[in-house]
Amino acid sequence: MSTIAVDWTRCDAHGLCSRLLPEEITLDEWGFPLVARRDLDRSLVRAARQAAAACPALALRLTQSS
Amino acid sequence: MTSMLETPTTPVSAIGAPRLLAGVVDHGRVDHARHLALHGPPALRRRGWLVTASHEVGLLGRGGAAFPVSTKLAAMPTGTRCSVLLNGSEGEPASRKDRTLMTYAPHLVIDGALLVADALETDDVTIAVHDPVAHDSLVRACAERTDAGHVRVVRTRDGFVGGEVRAVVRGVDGGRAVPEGRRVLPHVRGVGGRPTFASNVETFAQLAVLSGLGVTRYAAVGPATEPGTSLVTLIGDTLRPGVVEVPNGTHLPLLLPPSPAPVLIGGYHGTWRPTADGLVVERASLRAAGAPLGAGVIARPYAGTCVVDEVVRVARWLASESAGQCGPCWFGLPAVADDLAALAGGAGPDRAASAHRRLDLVRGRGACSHPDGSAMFVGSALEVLAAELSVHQHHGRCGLPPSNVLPLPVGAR
Amino acid sequence: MTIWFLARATGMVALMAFTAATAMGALATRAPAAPTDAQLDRRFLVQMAHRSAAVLGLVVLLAHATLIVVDAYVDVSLTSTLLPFTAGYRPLWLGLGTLSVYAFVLAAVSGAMRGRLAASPRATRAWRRVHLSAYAGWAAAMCHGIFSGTDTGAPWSTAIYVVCGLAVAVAVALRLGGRAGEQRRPFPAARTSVRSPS
Repeated sequence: MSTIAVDWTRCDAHGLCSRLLPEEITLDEWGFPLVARRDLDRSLVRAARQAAAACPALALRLTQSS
Repeated sequence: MTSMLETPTTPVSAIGAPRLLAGVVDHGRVDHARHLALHGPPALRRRGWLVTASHEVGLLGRGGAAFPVSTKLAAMPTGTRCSVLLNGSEGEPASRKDRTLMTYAPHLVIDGALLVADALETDDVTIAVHDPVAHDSLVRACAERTDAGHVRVVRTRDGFVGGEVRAVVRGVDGGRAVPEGRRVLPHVRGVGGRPTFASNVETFAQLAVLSGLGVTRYAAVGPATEPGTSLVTLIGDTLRPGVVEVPNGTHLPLLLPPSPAPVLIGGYHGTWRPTADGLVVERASLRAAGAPLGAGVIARPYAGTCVVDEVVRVARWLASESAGQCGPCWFGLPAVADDLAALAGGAGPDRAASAHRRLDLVRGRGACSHPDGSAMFVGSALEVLAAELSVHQHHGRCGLPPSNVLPLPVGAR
Repeated sequence: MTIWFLARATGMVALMAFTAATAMGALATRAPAAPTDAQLDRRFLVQMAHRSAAVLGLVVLLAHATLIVVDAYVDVSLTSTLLPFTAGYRPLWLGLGTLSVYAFVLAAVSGAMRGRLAASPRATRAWRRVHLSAYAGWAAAMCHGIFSGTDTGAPWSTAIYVVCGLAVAVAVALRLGGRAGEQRRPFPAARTSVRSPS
């Protein structure tokens, strides 16, 4: 099962992740991602990978917990 | 050479027979000769013995996380060179137990360091200490004996978050003393990149006592669930302000006079409670009650004083101590402090709602537990001080003289 | 002669593709303080287009270099293509062409490896600096084209160089200018100034 992890020391609130994975990521009032920490649905893994690759700060990671 | 104060300036006392503070209450700083007379030479033990013994007495870390020491020891790898790190940075402004221990019973701390290092078959030992008097006492203690030549005593100069163990590791290695974004625990990679056994200085002192007494005698004091003693720092309206060594299981009301004022348990990452009734100095039960002991600070403002402004001051200080690495903490904590200050100044309930919303936003969204701990302090204050806050909300002030028991570093505003 | 025409043409096309890639690379890194959804979507699209242009550039560049070596009209050997400044004909400017290839390959490889570099914090910081080699590659390519290209002087050729030059200049200006408006966390530097190293 995959989950999304945010490296908070790198996140700079660019916000691209929220556009690429709106089902799981919304932005708080300062622009930082709010991740529903439940496990990722299989169908969303591809979008999650895209979001991780698109992050300008490389702050988003997919972790495999199986 | 700095002149040493041989008598404590922070009042030091003990309930029952002191172990860690043996000799300190009566004579001040315990030099090597007195230390040997009180405790004997360090009782070196094999690693297996330490793991089993600390497990049998349920020894928990004394830094705030209260992690089981035997688990941490057992997790250290064998066969690779490792390091030992004693965290004496004591970044919590309200806590004085660590610097007291290091200043007045340095040899017990050093004994603990030596026996853990010996059990882990390493000579790489570092004591990270912030307080200059404690630092000098440790250095002097190492010089007083012949077996501590390899112990490094390092002065740290970083703030609150800099006292978090991973930040200390980085600081000791010469980097910025801030926690890194990916949570790699010290026993995996710590000082110099080596697996490191890192714990609070008091934990090492407890291990020294445990080694010397053996399990049965160590467990003769305190409840079966957590035998032994603990150092706590009592602040404000308490029966014995200062650093006190208490047997575990001591009922908190014994340390506090009856008073309508609320109690702060655990320091600035701790919890406010309306009363200490029913609470005991025992980490598991305090955690279960939602008021973990943390760094062992128990504070009580004087009845009839206004705590609200003091809480706002601490909230602002907590916000200023953010390392600035993580957005939600850096933006969220000052926003919460602003909300709190506004409430104290007479703003309406929408600021309370805003504060609660923002507290939810800072929890768990950072590289360390600074935002979580701060959220606990502010969140519990909002709840426990609801009556006082509502007076402030309606009138902007409450007319009571301001409380001034919670210490902050000089220059904090 | 066909090969010779293609060699020149592919050179120009490669330059245009890399100009697009470089300009979009500069524009895609702008981070306005409170981006709207539309701005974020656009940024992602520009990221994608940036990568596509770079890939196209690499493919066409490979064709350009191959055709130059194969072609009989100018005598440029494979060795002098790979080793900068060793060609018999205009060694300096051809050499810049070689360096430009290496710079673009470095930029492309770092770009492709970006996801994997996320594992190491130090690598992440170094990444951007390595990827900036694209600017050097582009500048070298421009000089190579202008000073060793045999079409230099022709109006269409001049027009292409001017447009390419302006495109990157404007993109970089926008990128540097946009920095003022970015929401920057007053980062570590501000806090460590009050502390001495442990």
